[in-house]
Amino acid sequence: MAITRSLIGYSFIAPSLVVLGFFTIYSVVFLFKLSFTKYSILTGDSVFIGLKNYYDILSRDLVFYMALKNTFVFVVGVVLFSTLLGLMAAVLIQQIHKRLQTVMKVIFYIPVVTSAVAGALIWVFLYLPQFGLINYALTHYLGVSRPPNWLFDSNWALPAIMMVSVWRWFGFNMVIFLAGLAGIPNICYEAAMIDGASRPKIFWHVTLPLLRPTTFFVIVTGVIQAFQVFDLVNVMTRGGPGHATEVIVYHVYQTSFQFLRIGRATAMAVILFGIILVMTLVQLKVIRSSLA
Amino acid sequence: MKTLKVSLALAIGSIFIVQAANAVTLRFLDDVEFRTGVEVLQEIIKDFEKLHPRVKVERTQFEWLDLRQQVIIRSAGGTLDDVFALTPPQVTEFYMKGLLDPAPQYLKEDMEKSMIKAWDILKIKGKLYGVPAMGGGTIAFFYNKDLFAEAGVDKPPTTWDEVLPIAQKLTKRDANGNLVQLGIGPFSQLKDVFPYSAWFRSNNAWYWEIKDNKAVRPRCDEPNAIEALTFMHDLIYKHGVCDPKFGGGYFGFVLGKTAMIGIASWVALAVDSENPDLNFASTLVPYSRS
Repeated sequence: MAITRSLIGYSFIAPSLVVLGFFTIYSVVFLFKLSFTKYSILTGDSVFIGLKNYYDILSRDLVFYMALKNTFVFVVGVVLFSTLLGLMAAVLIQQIHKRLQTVMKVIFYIPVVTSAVAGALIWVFLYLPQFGLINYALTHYLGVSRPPNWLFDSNWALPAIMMVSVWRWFGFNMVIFLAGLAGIPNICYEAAMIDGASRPKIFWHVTLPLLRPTTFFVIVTGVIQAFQVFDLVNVMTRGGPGHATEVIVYHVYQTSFQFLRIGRATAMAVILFGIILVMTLVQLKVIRSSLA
Repeated sequence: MKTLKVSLALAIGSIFIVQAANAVTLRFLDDVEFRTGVEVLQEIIKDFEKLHPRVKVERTQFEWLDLRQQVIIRSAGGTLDDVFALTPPQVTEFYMKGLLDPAPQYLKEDMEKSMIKAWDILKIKGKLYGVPAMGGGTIAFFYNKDLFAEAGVDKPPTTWDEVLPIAQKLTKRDANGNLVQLGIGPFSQLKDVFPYSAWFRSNNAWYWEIKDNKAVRPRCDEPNAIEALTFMHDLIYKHGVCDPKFGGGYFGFVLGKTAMIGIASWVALAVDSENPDLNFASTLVPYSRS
């Protein structure tokens, strides 16, 4: 009887399991296998070459290192600012009237559900050096005489994309933080107030510590997601000017579908997987030790 | 800009290695498409085969815009030619992505002995990644001798001041005011930098301020640059003797409908190839009043 019930249960999850197994698990295993081969996408020939792809990436692919540096800068900047802004927005929204809360939540959450390509294209227009609204505002309202060339300037292109990414994701973080804030028992605040704590002190010594698991979730998902940035770069700069906005996933895409080096591209993807895994484990360790 | 092409003889499969084997085929990929260029290349191949009787050269030609993609596809498919052409920026691009092997040491030593400065452009961190195969790229001023004779103009302009009156004499319109003959063609299409180069440089204007081999500041807003752009602008929009839409500049000249054009010097071979009957000559770009 118990076996029959199990079988029925398994039969319900079987379709999802098959899809997940094929499109995720099999793909990942196949990716690992491919990273040790010289694989021709044109002929389908595959030759085992051991660690040569990894050696080539690390020893002679200069763009990979640029992409790695840009990715780290992107991850740190985006995760930091989208977390801070998300937290700030959540705390502020919590203070205002319930009806206005809903309106503000919707406004801040719209970028999250907006198509990345559509959003990026709008920002491309906003960033235009001569005709963009941002530079218009900078010159006409703030008196900036030489506003940045944004996406056309190798010093500004990456920060410009990072700002768009922050704009896109801080609303998501805000919602998570709001859920976290709702989970903090009122009794903690009441106790702090009875002790005479000021609002900033309550925030630092009550709210923030109790939000630590939420913050951990936001940072971990933010880091994983920021490491995989591709759409904004592809739409806004295509890795340029020069290689100023080349990030790892875009480099993987270029290597695989522009230069048709499938083996090398998969090896890069494996390296990226390793980096994300290590980062997540480190964060896990840090947060666990701080929660203990 | 089609200034310099390189044929890459990579570590394996270079002509020098091929020579050692018996009756081999050397596959050669390039983008030389105009008649005279092809004739020169065929001569070189014939001479090479005479010098190396066991080697047969098999040449494949693609449009220069398709060449990069062809190199990538053939390389990925394992069928890349033994010698292939790339532009110097593409050599840098491939090098940066770690897709090029340096040429053998003996080739590098040969190049260094040759004293040709052009090798330097293909050297990265002391290693050679190709050999220059075709030179050119200076901008010349071409004029149609028949149209000049017909308009009673005996020599091409040598200064900016002479350009306008001569161009006006050579511009013709029909009864409805439509252009039928253009005095001066634009320097290629307006959307790239080519058109501006001749007027810029003949007026001692520069695109960039260079420091330590890096472009640090655009100089297009300096007086000389503005003067050059204004001169070009006036020819088109004020005097109506130059029109970017008229036969795309180059083709108007090839068809004998445009009297003067400033364009890369190597185009002479292409013009000659596309219209052998065109009676044209070339001279220096007219220099500015300043």
